[in-house]
Amino acid sequence: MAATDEFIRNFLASIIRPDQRLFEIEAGGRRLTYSIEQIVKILPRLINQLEPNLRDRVAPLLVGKQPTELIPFLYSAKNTNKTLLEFSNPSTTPQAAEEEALLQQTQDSSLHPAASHPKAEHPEPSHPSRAHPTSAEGHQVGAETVAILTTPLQKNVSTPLKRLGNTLGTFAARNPRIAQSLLFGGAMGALGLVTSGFNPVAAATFAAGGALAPHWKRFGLGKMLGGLGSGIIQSTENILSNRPRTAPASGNEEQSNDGGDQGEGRRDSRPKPGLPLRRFPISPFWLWLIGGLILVVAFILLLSGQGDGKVGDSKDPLSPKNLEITKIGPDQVENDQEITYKITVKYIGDRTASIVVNDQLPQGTKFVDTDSKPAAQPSCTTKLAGVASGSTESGQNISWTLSDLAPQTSTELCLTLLPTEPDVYIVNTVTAMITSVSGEASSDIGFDMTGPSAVPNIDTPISYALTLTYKGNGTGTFEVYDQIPEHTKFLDADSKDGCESQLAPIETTGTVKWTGISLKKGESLKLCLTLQPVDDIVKIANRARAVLVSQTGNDLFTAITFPPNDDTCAGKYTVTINKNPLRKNYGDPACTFNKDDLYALLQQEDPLHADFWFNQGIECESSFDANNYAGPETGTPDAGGAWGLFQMGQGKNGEFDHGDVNWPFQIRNQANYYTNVLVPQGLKLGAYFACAQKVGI
Amino acid sequence: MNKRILILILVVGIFIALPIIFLTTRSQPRQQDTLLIIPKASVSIGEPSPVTRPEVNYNSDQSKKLLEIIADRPTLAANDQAARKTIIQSLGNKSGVLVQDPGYQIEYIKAANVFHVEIRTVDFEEAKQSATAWFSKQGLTLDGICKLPVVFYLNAATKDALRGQQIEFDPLPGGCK
Repeated sequence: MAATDEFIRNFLASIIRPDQRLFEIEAGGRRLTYSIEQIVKILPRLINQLEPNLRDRVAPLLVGKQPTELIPFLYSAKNTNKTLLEFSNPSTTPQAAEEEALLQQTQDSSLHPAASHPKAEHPEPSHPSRAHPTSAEGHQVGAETVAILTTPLQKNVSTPLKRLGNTLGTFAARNPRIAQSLLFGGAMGALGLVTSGFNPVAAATFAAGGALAPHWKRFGLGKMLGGLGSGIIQSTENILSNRPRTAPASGNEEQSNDGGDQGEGRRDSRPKPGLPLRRFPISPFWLWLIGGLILVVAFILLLSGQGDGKVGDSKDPLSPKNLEITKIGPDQVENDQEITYKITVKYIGDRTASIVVNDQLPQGTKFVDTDSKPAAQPSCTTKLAGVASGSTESGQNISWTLSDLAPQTSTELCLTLLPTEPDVYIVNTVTAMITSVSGEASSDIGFDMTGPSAVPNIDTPISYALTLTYKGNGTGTFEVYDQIPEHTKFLDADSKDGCESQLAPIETTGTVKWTGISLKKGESLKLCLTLQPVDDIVKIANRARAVLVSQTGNDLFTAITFPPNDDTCAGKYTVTINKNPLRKNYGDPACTFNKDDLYALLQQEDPLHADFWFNQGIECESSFDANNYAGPETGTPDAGGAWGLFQMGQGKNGEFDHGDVNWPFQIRNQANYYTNVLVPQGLKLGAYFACAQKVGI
Repeated sequence: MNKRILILILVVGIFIALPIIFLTTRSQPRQQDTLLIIPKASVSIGEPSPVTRPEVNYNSDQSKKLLEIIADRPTLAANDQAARKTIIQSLGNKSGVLVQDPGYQIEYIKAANVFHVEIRTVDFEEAKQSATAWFSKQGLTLDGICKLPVVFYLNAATKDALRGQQIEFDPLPGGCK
């Protein structure tokens, strides 16, 4: 009986969370969590795994008991830290008496030295934090035991929220795999949604991966899914499973009193021998917390307009988020019938924008016109003509320039094509880009004014300083206005003590006006103004205002450091395919590598030809657009055309010196070509570049 | 370690990482990266390629003259110097756009100390006249405009539009000797 007693003792000693109706049992080197209902179910299997003689002795104690009997039995046994013998104390309840009878049978067979464990040697431990009520069933097993048993049963589910929480908790406990899939699938779906710019396909992929990941062992999908998510989840699960819980829960983990019966029908209730039931490792409290945080973050992102991908309140005024563009046309036409498309461009930003719209015609079509076509289906009316470039062979591009588009205004454009080949499948290739915006954006402007500290009087000129700081992106062009106050007249705008004037005004009557102020991000400009009072009563109020007239460029990125500008125009390419036969993306619309930078780099890389390239060569051979492409029809030596600032061709190595090579590399390549290829052969620059040849260099 | 602390760390970590991942990736979905290709044509020694043929011919003599002006920087008359100074001061002594017109754009490039006039219309002669008139309004004489120096050029779209028309474009203001 000592062995039986030891088994029961060890078994019960492994129960460490009696207050929450959870048990953790060490098996196979791992500590696993069980509910009381699960313990009841697996107990016979555990007993069956014992040595036969031990099993025969223990089985009569527990096997055959109804769950309603076993549950309080196990609770009371653990909580009071008693051996079974102590439960046989005749002063306890009828239930305990029954247990005593069972034990007595064992003692009668001389297997248990029951008499050696008097109750006095095992005083019942006290628990100061608990009351000692009577159980709901009225049992008097012991005040301590009853209190623990009845605490969860007496819990009132008073609010729908708690009810829902309990329902979810119960569901999670009964369907741990499904709950795991829902939790991780939901979390990964939200992650995918946010990180992909709210792309539903990406979100679904993430969600599917997250849902499957917890079951990688079961289905062998872990490696197929890349293993990363599975590994993380499994590692987390292992960590959680190997750590005992010490903090008491709030009672949200209540399971129904008949939970054991309800679980009879589920698959997990019949584990294979040696594989204990797994309880869902995260409590409903944490489920609520994680879900709530995900919702809060998603809500904040939506409110901030960062995630919906189409709101017009983007902080970047040049962002394509400020545009909506649609293109509609007939579903199909006869081979010799013209196709008219209606393109609608809507500016949903908050300033006045200049927009360039491009449409790359597909192969097998020929440009007809961009006129209004009221009789076409769909009908199209426009006031703006597009400009066609390129050839039918190399691909035609139609572009429209929309100027001064006010917020929330739309412009309709028409495009008529003629299929030149049968069965042409046309895809939508229209794109739009904001090239510049104008109008005031107070958040981009810092404007400080410092006036005289003394009270103005008619004998003393009033001088004050204005400091304009540009906080936006790219380069901003400003105008500053300051209305001359009553009883004063403009004296001058020169530097004074405490004020260094960097610009003279162009108007000084009524309102002092400074124009042509160009500032890059973070730059400041100081202006000075001196007024002469013409009366003793002078009130100076800050009426100066700065207007952001236009904004160009953007310094959203920093790439490789090249003097004299960190921006190599290499980091961000437009998706617009203009005239590029390779159908690659060219150029950098956010390039801040301006003409000053270009000239400085030309002086650095090719001082001999810097002035030629800057003032003649680039304009003659190409343009200041790094996207520029000259097709074969222009007579370029390369059959595929030439690209970039210097219109260099394909080269000997199959590499292109085209527009996706950043400006510094284009410049260096040109200079290297002259130095390494032409000079060794005694040739001038004009040996390769026709425009250089024209000017004799 | 307490299990709840582990979970809390996990949750906090996720919600710290989420905004970082989002903010670092959100500007990229609509953009497409292109592999940086370092051209190798520059180190290929061989027969020189035939000269490229520009789409619009720039007048050779005038182009040479323009380069001479840029290289020599002839002295401006006093009134032209003053007008030039006023124009540049209006930009805060920095580079910038002076005029934006549908047909042309005038800008000053400080690094090169030149004025560029980009022609944006196929009616380039009229655009040149309009741009020249703007300089005159600022107090410059024709001689001063020629010596500023001012560089006229056609933008890419205009060059495309004029392709094949045997145009010979003069990069100097009209009337420069």
